[in-house]
Amino acid sequence: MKKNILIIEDDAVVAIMQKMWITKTFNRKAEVFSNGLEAVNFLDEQIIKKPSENYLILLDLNMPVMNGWEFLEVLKQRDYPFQLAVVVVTSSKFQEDYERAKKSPLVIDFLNKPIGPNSLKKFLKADYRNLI
Amino acid sequence: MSIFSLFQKFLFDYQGPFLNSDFFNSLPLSGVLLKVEGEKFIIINTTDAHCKLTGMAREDVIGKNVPDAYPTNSDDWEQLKTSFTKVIKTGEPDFMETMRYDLAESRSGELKERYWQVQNFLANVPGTNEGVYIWHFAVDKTAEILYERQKRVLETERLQRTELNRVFIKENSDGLYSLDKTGRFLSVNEGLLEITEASEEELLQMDFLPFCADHDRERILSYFLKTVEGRPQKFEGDFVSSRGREMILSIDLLPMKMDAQIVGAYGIAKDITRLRSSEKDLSKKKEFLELYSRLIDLLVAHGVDSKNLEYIFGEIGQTINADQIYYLGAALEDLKGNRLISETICWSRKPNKTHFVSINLSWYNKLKKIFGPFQYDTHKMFQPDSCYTEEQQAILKEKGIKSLLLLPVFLNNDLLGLVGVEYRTNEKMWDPEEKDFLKSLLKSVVSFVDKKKADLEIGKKEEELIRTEKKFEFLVQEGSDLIGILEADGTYKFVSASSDRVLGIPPKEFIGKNAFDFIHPEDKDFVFAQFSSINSQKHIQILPFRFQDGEGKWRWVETIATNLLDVAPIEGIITNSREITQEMERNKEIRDLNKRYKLAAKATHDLIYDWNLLTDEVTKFTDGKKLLYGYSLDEIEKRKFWKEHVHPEDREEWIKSLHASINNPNTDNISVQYRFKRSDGTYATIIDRGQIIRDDEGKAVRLIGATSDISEIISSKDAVKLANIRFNYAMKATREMIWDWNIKENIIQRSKAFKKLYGYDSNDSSVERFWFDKILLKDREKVKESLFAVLEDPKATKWKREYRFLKKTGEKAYVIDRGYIIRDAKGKAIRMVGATLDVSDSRRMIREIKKQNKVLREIAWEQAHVVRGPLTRLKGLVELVKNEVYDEWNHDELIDLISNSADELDDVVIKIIRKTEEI
Repeated sequence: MKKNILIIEDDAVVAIMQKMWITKTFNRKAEVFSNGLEAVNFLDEQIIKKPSENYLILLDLNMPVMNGWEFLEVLKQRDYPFQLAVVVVTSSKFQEDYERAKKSPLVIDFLNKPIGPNSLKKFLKADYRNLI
Repeated sequence: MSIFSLFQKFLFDYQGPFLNSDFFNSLPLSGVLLKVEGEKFIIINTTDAHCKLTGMAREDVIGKNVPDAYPTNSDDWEQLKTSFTKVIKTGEPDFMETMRYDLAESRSGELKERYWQVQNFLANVPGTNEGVYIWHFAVDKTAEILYERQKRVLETERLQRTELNRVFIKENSDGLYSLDKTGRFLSVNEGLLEITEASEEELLQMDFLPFCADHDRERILSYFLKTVEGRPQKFEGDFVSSRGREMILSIDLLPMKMDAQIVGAYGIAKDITRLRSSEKDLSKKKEFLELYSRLIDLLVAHGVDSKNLEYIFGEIGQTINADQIYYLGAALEDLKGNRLISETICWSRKPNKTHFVSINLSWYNKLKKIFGPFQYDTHKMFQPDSCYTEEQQAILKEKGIKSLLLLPVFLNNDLLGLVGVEYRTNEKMWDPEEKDFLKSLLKSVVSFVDKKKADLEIGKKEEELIRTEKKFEFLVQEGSDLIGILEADGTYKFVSASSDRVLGIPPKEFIGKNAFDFIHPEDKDFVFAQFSSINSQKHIQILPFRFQDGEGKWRWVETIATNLLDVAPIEGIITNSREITQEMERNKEIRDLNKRYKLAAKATHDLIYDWNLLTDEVTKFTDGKKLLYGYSLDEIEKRKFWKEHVHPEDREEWIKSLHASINNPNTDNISVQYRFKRSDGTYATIIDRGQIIRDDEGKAVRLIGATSDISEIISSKDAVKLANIRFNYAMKATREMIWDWNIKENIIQRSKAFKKLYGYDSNDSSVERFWFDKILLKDREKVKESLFAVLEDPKATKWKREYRFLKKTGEKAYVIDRGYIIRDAKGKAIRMVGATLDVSDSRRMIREIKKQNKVLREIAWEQAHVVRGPLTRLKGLVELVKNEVYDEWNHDELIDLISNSADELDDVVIKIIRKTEEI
């Protein structure tokens, strides 16, 4: 079952670009949230509204209000009924971030910014097609 | 409205027609009309009343200036003139209640005191349009003023008289009275009421006899009878007031006459009780003083001891009428243990002696317990009726003591004992003088005791000193050091007995001889030079020299000389010599060893060679040994033999240094150390020294050299010693403190580094109290826990812990402490030897590095996130432009976004640069 795509990104320009490329590449729509908390609020609402939905989340790490790490922590604590898969999308080339992200069981991949058609295509090849 | 005001109004209304009329003249007031002419006030007219008052005829004054018409004191005229001027200036009337203006008497012409009430005001004179006119009206107040004055004088006089009366009669403390012929009081004053302590009514109904003391009544009566016979009397007598107060009165009696008949007597009674009693006090004081000086003389002459004290107590007892006086308390002994002052010293009045309780220390303890505590210079006084506690009262009654005075004796702030003064037959009313006398006498006695005690202390110290001197003598005589006293030229005055033992020469053999005669000829010069410097240095240490002993052998001695030529009992140079022959010999051994080494290196060559560098031919010489390093000379002669037998590890270095020396024109000597393979396969350590011979141009042409086998020296004990010394030095330089902990006895010894590293000078060998206490509180428990855990684990052999330790300076030291545990057969830890390493420096560096790392990490993080944020955005946007993807933004919008992102990136980079600069 295909998942809903959520983009969590505080940089509005980057978020628009990501959304555009997803549309262009996969012909899919995506929801944009400017920080982790907005996304959590959205997911909380979905528990009652659409508890059987599943989500692929493109997650930025460095954000105000609730950053990527805090968001992952919340996901861990909340027992969401949804199937969740997180792709960490970050400008960071910091090895530490990469190692840390790998430790979260929800994180399925790690993409470097900027996301363009090429990286998305690579992502597809990496057997995540079913997720999208 | 005053009469002036009425008159003023009248004049204003009607003045014109009356100015020079009879009407004006006959006005009932004393008035004058004046015309102002500059400074002058010319009289125009006066009233009849004025003429009458002043006694001056009108015609005599008209036309004259006022002071000319009525001459007076200048002050009086000035006052009036001021009033006129004021009226002219203000235009307002001026009124003076009283002013003085003296007038001359017509007969004598003398000025007579006159007082006036005055009113001046401007006059409007009709028909005369020019000029200023003043009305002056005056009322004579002289009689009134003078009367008032007289009244005041009289009043003052009256008051003064009343006061006198009050002072002299009413308030006179003397009793003034009159008696009729039978001795009944006719009149009395306040003074007598006070003296007799009776009321006026009472006195006026009685005669004087009840006030006479029983024993004196007859005599007093006889004086009275003489007075009423006509003879005035003056006498002193004992009287009693109505309240029973005894008093001494001085009485003056005068016959009271009326119509030449004696009807009674006037009397003056003066209370002189205080005067007489103070005279009594004076004589008592005199008595006390005499006693006091007698006792002090006694103390000065014979010192303080039990016998004297008993005598003193007796003298005091007699003087103050006491029944018993005693001292109870600590005894005082002299150096030989003889008792100077006993624990109990007692004087008792003889007839009663046997009736009294025995005075002993148990009584002392009771006194202290029941009547104490006692304070310095504070006596305590008790009578059965005035006790503080029932216990005190009970004991006084039980012992039949009617009065008890206790004076504490303090010596150096300690209660030495008590002096008790008891009255048993009569109750004692203590006079302050008596108490003061006793206290001060006691103080004197105590000060004598104190002095005695101090004398004893001094005696003790002197004895100690004598003992110390003996000890010193013993040390000098029996010590291993040789002590001598020399004259300035080196002649012996004294030599300690140790000379016999140390040098085998009895002290007396030195006396009169010169010290230099015993010194080795080789050493004499420098010793003499050093010894001579004593005049300027006072204290010198002479380098070791040889001194001849009784057997003629040379002994090495080291001497310290002190110049005491100016010090009276010595008057010489004190020398303190120590024999150091053994040490010197040991040093000599070392020197010899060095010498041997040098000789070995210098003279004992195993092989001498002459190497022609131009032809590369080597000529070898040996010292005749058949075999060298196990090889025959023939073998050695072979070409390349030498080179091939140099240890492979040293060979390259050997060749290199050979070439370097040969090619350096400034080098003439060569010295190389290397290992050389013996025939048996072992290696000898060789020193190869050579002399390079060069031609005129500096080119090496020949090398003449010698090899020495130094293997033995290298491996000898000296090398080990050297290593040990090096090790010790290294230990001193280390930042480690070595410790050795005897767990069984809980004694820890620490190396000197302890003071150097941590600043503590303490020899406190307790682990618990000393070391643990200095460990920072945060670390302390953990350190103790880990240490004790390891000690209790029978398998554990080591302990190591890093913690913070507080230095004496208050600084924190980071230390790594580690120790090795020594256990007994049962596995119980009995000793621990360890080392504490101060790693503060490295820890500080680590901390700094960590701090730096943190900053670096922040930079790295910023680079990873903050820099790459706008950068990745830029890349994304550029990609859109490149691929002409205008789904979201058109071309221009994209360019704007790119530009903004570039600016943002620039800001971030600037921030990072700043942060980097902070590192």
